[in-house]
Amino acid sequence: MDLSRRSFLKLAGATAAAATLTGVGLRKASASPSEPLRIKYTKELHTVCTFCGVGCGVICNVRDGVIVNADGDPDHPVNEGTLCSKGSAHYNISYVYDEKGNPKPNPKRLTHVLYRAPGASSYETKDWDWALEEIAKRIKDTRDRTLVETETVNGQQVTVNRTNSICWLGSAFCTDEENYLFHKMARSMGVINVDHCARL
Amino acid sequence: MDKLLYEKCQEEITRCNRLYDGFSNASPFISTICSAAYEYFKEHPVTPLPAYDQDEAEESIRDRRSLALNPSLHTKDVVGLLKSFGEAAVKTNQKLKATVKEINDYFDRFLLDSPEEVKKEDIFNLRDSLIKETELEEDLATFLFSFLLFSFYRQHLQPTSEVLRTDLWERGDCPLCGEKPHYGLLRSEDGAKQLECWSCGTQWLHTRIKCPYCDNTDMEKLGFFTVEDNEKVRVNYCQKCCQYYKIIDVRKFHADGDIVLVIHNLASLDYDLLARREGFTPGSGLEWVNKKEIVEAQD
Repeated sequence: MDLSRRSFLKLAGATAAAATLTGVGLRKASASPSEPLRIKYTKELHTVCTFCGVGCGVICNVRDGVIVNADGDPDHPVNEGTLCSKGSAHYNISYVYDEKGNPKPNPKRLTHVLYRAPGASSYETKDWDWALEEIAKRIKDTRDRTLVETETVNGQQVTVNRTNSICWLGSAFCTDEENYLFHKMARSMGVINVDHCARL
Repeated sequence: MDKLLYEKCQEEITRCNRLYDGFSNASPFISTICSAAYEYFKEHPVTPLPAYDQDEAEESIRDRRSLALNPSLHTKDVVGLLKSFGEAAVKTNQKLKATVKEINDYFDRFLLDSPEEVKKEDIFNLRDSLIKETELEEDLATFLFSFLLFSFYRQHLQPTSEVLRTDLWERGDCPLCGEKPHYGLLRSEDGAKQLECWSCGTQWLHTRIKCPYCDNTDMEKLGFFTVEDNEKVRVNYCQKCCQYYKIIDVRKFHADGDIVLVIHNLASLDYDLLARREGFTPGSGLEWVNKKEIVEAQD
């Protein structure tokens, strides 16, 4: 039997008082089973502010699948932890207030893709795969239908390969590199109406 | 512990009395321990180690290598300060007199058998032996030994600490001594996560949503818990490595000047107990909860 001096003294009943943090006043008592503290688990999730073109980083605190708070992301190079008054009110994208001033989930918040077919009077719910495929298909259809391959300039046929039927907008939420690739993609399809929303 | 830190500790104890329920029961003990450290170093001043070469230190930090400075300490100083802590404990609770005597006897034997200087690992071996052989429980041993190292290393490493480029450090362990942190804070000005080394007091910024122990950045496996009606302390956890550390959210209370986190850590030991009961282990390796306390909850 492996018996330490301490175990031996305990068995012999000759031991001194145990020196614990409790013994010096740090009781950790409020976490005792009889007086349990109610724990609230929260996740911190990165997102980007949707309000303007600056694209500030936001950390959303989410509890039981519901956003409870939004902080500026201190590690984001754009805003370094700060948020403007609109960004600070991110919480209110998810919530509206009832007559008594209590928050309730915003019933108008979009949580899935809605599609209104040409001529239809109502929206249908679609999934993202369908939406992305449909967008790609329609861009290609429009481009193929309206592509101008050549044009006469000073009496000569010149290759232009362009379409005037599509306009492409870049995004200030994206990085320079991403916008460079968008621009390249647009040009490769023959889109010449390329613009950008940056204005700040 | 120098005069400035001593005074800051006393101010922080007063603040924590206001902020944390039940801490006022423990504050006389903590205050006496701080006084004991202050008085001890007044009589036995520490000579700081010469500053690390600044260029070499910067190169190391840029290479993501901690300086890992953990100087040996004089055995007599280690035992001397621990005995002062023992006296402080007896002042708070007379029932501990026999226990402290038993521990002091152990120290005397340790002094006889030990070389003039002891390394950090020897100090932790001493701690483990005391837990095994005397009535010193793990939680109090963790406090006494971590506070001992904090008191010495903060002074020993001060010259290097002053020139250390912590702004270049991105890892979770301490850039100066290599220990893993147990606590930190969210800065009031921008909410950045600032970790602090329990051993040498170095502070550095760390990515907010990232585990300092396993570098996990998967948001689904990271999170924190608080308790109802008190959100100033967060227990940050990682479900990948199942470890935790504590974060004091300074934005939740008014705080002028520096925050002495070592005191907040003591004032928030409830959260260590909760974290252990929730199944997380301290990533720092510092066990602030006795096994019996965890078992009680499982029963």
